Amino acid sequence: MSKLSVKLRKNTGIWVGGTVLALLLLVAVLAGVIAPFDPYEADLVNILSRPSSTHLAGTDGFGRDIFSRVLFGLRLSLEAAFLVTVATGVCGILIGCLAAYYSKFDNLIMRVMDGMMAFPDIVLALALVAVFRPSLKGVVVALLISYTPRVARIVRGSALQVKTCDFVTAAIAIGARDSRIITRHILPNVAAEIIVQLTYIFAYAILGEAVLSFLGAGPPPPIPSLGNILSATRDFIFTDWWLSIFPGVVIMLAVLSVNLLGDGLRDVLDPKLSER
Amino acid sequence: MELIPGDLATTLLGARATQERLEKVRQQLHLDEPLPSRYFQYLTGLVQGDLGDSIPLGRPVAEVVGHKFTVTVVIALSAFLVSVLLGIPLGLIAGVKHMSMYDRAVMVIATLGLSIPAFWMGLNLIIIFSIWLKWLPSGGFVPFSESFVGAIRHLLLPAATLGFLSTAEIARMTRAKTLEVIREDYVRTARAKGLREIAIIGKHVFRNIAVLLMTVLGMRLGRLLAGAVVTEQVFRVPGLGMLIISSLEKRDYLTVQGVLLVMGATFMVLNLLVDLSYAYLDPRIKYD
Repeated sequence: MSKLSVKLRKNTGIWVGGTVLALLLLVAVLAGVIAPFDPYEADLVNILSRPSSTHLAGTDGFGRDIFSRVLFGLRLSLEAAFLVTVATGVCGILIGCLAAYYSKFDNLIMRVMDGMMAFPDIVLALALVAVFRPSLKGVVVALLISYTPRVARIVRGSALQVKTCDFVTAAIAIGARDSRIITRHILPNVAAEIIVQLTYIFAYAILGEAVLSFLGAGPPPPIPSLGNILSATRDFIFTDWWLSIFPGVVIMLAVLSVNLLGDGLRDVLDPKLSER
Repeated sequence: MELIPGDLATTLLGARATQERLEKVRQQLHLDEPLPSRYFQYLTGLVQGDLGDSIPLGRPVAEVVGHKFTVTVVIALSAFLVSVLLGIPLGLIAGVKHMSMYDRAVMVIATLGLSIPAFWMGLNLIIIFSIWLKWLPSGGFVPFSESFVGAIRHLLLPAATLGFLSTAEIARMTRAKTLEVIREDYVRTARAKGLREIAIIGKHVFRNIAVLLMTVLGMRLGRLLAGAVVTEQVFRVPGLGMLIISSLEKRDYLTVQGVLLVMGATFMVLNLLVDLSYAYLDPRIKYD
């Protein structure tokens, strides 16, 4: 354990990524306090105004403060990403472990997963949103269905390796129940890989939500979402190009911090890489 | 598509449509028949190349999807070319000059590439190259048959946008595989024999990472087709991406099904080609 804590302390990616992510989470949680304006409040006198001391990132086509809308949009994006990550983790772990432990179901489960992975993520997500109509719920369910096969495959692969270990064989031999073997023996030994993958899923989910909202499949305006804020700027890009800078920078920072954190966790927790 | 709530005919034609028109569309789409029967009819039509008729567009879905598919393929292939021509050399340099400033620069570019949303990248490229510098058009598509120069000018920004993320992934993967291979005994032997570095990288390192890279490249091309959906929205390119978005807005679900089918089939064919290429690139691999 002390070796792990030393590695964790020495890894720059974890520190930088983790700090930036923590700051963004704090800003998102305190959006209601930090935001200088109501994100829905229109000011038709000040539409498309340039960044100033009053409106730090300018105003949009309805005179709404972009800085305030981005803060609330960040909260929505992080909330969606968190829900997607948790749900994908639960479903992916369940499906992956079942497929690995019960070999008679493995083929069937993995062929269904392969079928789902045959469709590109965003296209599948777009089609699924059609069922739920543009909404946060639709985005979360669509991304959950798109990302679960990825996590399930990784969990299955790792669980298959752990299943062949002596301690699992011993547990089976002494008559331990299947649920106990999976939860007490297999899962703890694949936890490191799952944590790393779910960190990357969090980053994909932030981007995925932003893309779906950009394409009009996310929460509809006037609900602020980083993607739909950027989508609105496309119409004004020739006259008011600055509108797209701040929301884009925020998405980039959020995804970058999570990717750095994921890379750092992989370097610390993945034994194969840590031997270099 | 079957899970979408409401009557599909009413959704397509609107609440003001006459009962006669609604009945006609319901018969056309076989909505009065059970789901298994409709599915079987769809499969039968599919085998004959019939994906149904788009009610909003008034044309066969196969014709519409086929035309838009070529546009999306041109965008995706251009982006693929950009990412392979940039990504592989960058990854090789980073791997060979491990821990140098080139390596760190490539890793920074790669990490940024994975974090920057493609649509934001596209908007920024429009700002720089279309608005400030006025070098390139901000959107649209010109077929090669119409004007070669015009086609290239309209392709540059979408290809760069779509290709940037791929470049980052390919560079990272190439670097990782290069680092694995460069520590092998045969590379050490080649150096000991006095071979020039360029010959070592070309003949020994690259040939051995080629097979490993094929999987990544094949998957990347498939993902580029999906990524083109977003890029087409940014640059207003009339491809499959714009088609699926407009079809979802119009509730034209037959067209959405057709687009999904074509994209899924293309993905599978690409994966198959990647698998078959392994045997060509590595003589040790044989398929029964």
